[in-house]
Amino acid sequence: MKQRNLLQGRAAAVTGMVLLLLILLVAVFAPALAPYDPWAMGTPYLPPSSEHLLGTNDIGQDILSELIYGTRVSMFIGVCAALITTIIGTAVGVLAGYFGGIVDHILMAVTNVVIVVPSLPLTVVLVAYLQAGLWNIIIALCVTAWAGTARLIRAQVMQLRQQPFVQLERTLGMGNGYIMLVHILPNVSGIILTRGALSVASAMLSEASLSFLGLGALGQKSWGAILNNAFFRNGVVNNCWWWYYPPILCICVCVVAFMLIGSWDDRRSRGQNLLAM
Amino acid sequence: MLEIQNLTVRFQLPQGTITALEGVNLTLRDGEKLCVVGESGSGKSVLMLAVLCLLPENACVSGSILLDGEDLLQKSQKDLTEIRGMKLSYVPQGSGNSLNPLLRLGFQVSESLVAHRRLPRRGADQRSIQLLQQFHLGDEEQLVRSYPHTLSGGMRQRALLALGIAPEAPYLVADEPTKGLDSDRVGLVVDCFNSLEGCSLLCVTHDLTFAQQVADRVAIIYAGQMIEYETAEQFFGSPRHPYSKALLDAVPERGLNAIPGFSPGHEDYTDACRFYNRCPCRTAQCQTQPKDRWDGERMVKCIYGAP
Repeated sequence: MKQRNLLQGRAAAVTGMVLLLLILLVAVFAPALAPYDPWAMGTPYLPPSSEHLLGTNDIGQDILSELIYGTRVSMFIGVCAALITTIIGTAVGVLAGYFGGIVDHILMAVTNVVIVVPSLPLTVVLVAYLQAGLWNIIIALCVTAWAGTARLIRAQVMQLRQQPFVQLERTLGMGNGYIMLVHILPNVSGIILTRGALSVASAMLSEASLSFLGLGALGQKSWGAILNNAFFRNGVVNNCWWWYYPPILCICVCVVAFMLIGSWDDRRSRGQNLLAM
Repeated sequence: MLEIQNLTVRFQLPQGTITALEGVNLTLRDGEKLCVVGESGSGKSVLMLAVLCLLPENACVSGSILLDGEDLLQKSQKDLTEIRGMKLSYVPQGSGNSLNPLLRLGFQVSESLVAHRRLPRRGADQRSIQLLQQFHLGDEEQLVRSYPHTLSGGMRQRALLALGIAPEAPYLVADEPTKGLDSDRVGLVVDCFNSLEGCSLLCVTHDLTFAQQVADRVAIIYAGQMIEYETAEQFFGSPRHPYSKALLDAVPERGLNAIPGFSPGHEDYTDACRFYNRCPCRTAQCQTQPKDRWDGERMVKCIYGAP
């Protein structure tokens, strides 16, 4: 039974990885795949045809090309934000869980404040104040997202810290930094990877929300930005479904891909991770 | 030389204060092997953790622990890190997760050598194999590449012994190193400890047969107090404290006469001798606690132990 669950878990994760690979290929080979320059203008409001597979928008830009180029922007923002989020979350969680005491109190006080702040409104405000560049969006997305990861990792590290093998390391005269890097970190790698994958999904969603609200990176065609255009430049009013359904679909596929990867559970850590047993 | 002077350990708990060790004095000379024997909960593990300076934060330690004349209790964490790796080594209990489940055995056995002696990784693996071979684990080349969960309990215990002696520290502290080993394997541990030239050993155990084979000296701990401190020869020949006699009578080879009752809990401590309730030769005098009676290098905490 357990064996079967394991295989099912793997199948889901493999599906996610295949999807991700396809998405990455699209992003990398965007110039080769896109039939038109996404900025080039032509006849507006064209429905899908053999010439423009997904039609054109209000200023005649090819929507398929926009989507293909948009993969780059959306993925870049999602992955970068998730990377930063996970690094901050892991660092805070490991330090708080390992040292405990006053370090834990301070770090967790900050984490708790961050958790209770409503994240989307804060992000909106931040983006509105910062200049709407690519990196500012990423920073705004990271400000609150790390807290959940930090809490999870802290809880796990607090248990690990009490394990005899960590105590043994201390009797061997190993420094705290060494113990955290060599002994604690591998034991929370499962959580880090899972949370990292899920963070990409949520960062992409937040980015889409921001772009939809018109707070996205200026001059960048992300999927959220295409949606924003469709909404505020008469796409929805004119019932141009080819304009707003495809970006929604792209976002969904991407998020699902990362969530499937996030369901991956390392066989090794399952068999041997003492805390899972 | 390791000198423990008037060591008292108390734990501050919400329910009140618990005295785990009270006024322990003992000396471990260079190259000497000392076995600390006691029942579960008697405080022998606390003694060991105190020497390693690894007691939990709610522990309140008084007295002094002098390692080559320097008080470990006054040392900074940084100094302790240095001492633990180089001078003071530790063999943990094999039960429980004393090995990191995600790292290969060879890495962990020689980890301290890589960290403190800057041994290159490849050489360290060779050293791991040699160390493991001492304990006849079998197929050591393969073993250093495997993960701890593939080892049996007895193998893990022996691997931890290899890990403990790897730094070749002058002081070795061992926590029940024979737990879960059959008598042949205990023989390997005895051989190993006896071959450690110039290494001082502080070994906590309740295996008296093992203690007899290894120890130069024996310290008996009962309910948080050291009640007898003796050369091994003297102790196994003619123990002086009634508890020590009872302990030896309980060994299978000597008739398996167990002592009735249990040692008192922390809440039951009175002014009387801690062994009063179970002592076969108690008198009215025993209503007040006996003094530590030192006679040169020997000690007994009993009115009968007069030199």
